[in-house]
Amino acid sequence: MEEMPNERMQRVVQYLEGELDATERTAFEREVEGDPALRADLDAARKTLSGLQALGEERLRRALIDADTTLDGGTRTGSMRWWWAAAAVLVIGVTAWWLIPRDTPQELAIEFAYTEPGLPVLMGSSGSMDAIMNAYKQGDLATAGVLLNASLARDPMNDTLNYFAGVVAARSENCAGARVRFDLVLDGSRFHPQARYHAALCALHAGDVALAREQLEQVTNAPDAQLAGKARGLLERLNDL
Amino acid sequence: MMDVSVGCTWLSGVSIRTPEKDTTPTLPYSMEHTLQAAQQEDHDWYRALYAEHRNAFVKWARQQYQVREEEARDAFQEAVIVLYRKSRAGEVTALNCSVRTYLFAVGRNHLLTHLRVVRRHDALDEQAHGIPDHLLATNSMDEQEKEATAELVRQRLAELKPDDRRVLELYYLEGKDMDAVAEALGLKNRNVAKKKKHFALQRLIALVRSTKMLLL
Repeated sequence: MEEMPNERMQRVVQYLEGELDATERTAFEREVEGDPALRADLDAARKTLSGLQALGEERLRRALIDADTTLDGGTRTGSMRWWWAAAAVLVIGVTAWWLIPRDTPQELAIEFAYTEPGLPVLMGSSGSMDAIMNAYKQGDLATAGVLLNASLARDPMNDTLNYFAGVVAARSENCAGARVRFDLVLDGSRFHPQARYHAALCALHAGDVALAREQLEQVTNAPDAQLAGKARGLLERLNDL
Repeated sequence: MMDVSVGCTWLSGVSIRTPEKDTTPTLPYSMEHTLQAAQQEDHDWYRALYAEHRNAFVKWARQQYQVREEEARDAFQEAVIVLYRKSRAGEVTALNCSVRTYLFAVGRNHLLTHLRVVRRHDALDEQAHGIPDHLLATNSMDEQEKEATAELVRQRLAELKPDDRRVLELYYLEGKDMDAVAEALGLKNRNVAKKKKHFALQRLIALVRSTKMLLL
């Protein structure tokens, strides 16, 4: 049986989805101004809806790219003479497996991307890892990279630093540099599964499916059930390539 | 050539003349839809809309702006996505012009913005010589934040029960209206579907919120 909806959150959603009338909207906005908890609810709901919207747009974009494939495939056969068409049908039949639109390793890398959220930063602390995380979370990858390199010069085998240096390199489209870092995140490190997963994505970007499989197989039983599930899902899709 | 821009001049401040429809066979969708109608449609309709007008836009854009075919296609894809976004937000209901005119105008604006960025980038290339590409990345904070939010929501969505996830996917990710959601899930009517969507959304928000609290 379904539980009762949280009335407070229901109003937040109704507000964001334009389901309140003008009077109710004004009253709600006034309430938000004086209620920090309600404002936090509103922020979380707004973030969730904006994420859902982005995912919907991403899915539509894939449908449009798929339409391109269909359209471009269709236009080429329009002016064929019948015997040429028959020959083409034969060729298409023989090579149908190759002609059916399939995922490419690069597309799968994008679809199964994993965004590392970063480590928690304690309010008021000023350690070097906090400075790195602050830069990372603000998307300032150049600064995060410089700080990571400085810390790695002092502690070159640190698994956390190597993992984040790999993540920053991968996000800067430097997969070669990322792999070097991920290889230094050894088995037993809490970041080992994530490093292997990122390394698999890098391998897919480079078109190396065998290496990607090898990396993913080390993630399928990871303690992070979600990452493990993601790795298994990606391995299944790689079987269809 | 027919001017079909009445009511849509606001898009770029100037009137836009789109080419007449080409005579290629059309898909079984009426493309004379008004923008108001676009609000009720799902991804299949937008895909058909794209397929119907893409070639005409690409041809027109290549002639007008000497852009490559891929650039014109990207701009038209962006235009369809903007229409989808604005329709879902109820922002195009007051516009009195055809879907086609709207798409051409948005696609054109996107193309012009893209061309301005490319030209500026070309001019800067010489000055930037020697600086690694990753230090010249133009991904804005907004874009990165949007991607991170989408990834966060994607991960939390995967943690929901299958029926909760499905109702949210149908409505938010596939653009189905409540009637279609009710039908797809075998629910009695749109009101039941809407209630189910509210429950599922609240659970998702709670998951997103708990992640944020852990991180910050």
